[in-house]
Amino acid sequence: MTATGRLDRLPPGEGMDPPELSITLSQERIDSYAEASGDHNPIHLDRDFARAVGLPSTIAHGLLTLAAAAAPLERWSGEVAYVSRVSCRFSAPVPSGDLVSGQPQVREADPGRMVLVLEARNGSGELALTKAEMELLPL
Amino acid sequence: MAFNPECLGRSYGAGPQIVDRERHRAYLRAVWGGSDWEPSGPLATFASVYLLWPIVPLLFSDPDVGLDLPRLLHGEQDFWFDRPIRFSERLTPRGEITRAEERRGMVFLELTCTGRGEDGHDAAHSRSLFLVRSAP
Repeated sequence: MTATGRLDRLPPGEGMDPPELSITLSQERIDSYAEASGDHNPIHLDRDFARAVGLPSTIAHGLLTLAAAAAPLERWSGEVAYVSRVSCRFSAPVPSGDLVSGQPQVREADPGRMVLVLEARNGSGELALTKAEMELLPL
Repeated sequence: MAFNPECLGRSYGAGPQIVDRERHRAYLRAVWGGSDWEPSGPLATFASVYLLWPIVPLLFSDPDVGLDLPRLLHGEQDFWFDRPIRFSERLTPRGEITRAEERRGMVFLELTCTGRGEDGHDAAHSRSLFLVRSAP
């Protein structure tokens, strides 16, 4: 890592804030994710099946919600860091068509490590992810 | 088919998986939406493709585990990496059931996966907690 790397330039309270999350997990996006990831569980793809197991509609894959929350932070961290860890608890479903939103926060930062807290709320305002964190280390 | 808590320690393996740039492009389109960004390495969560999903179907279809798939939920997920993962490299995934218990009718099943690089060292890891709700 260079002396001007982002992990140096973004201690808490300084520099740029992590980007706000705002993404609609449409059925089209869920379908595309199923195709790309290989996760074809019908609760994500088949409305009748989802209703039969007690859901109001199809829901986004938890891993799609996590990926959608994490990707903007990976872009934000640029090419000076890599994600050494990303983790979460899936705490509420994201029905298809929901706008997922949140404001991630920098929890820890020093020249050699940064920890971000991810936030992703579903369209009802419930936290879809809890205990969601990402650790960045210098490349 | 009843859940079998004796499945703790069962392991599953799959052949080497290429961290494929084209497949990552399709994944990125789904996750990111636009085509205005192409990172030099795979997104961290792309490990679901080369590490987790080669193993999960083996677990889900294992008759000796006995999961009620329509009632299964993905409860927690953790990916961690010993080094940056690069496009075109091959990782060989292996998974093990590291928790298997039933409490108050709810099944807790943890799958831990490791992706070993061509140099013989582990490079990527995944821990997934699956929950199976009891039937009404």
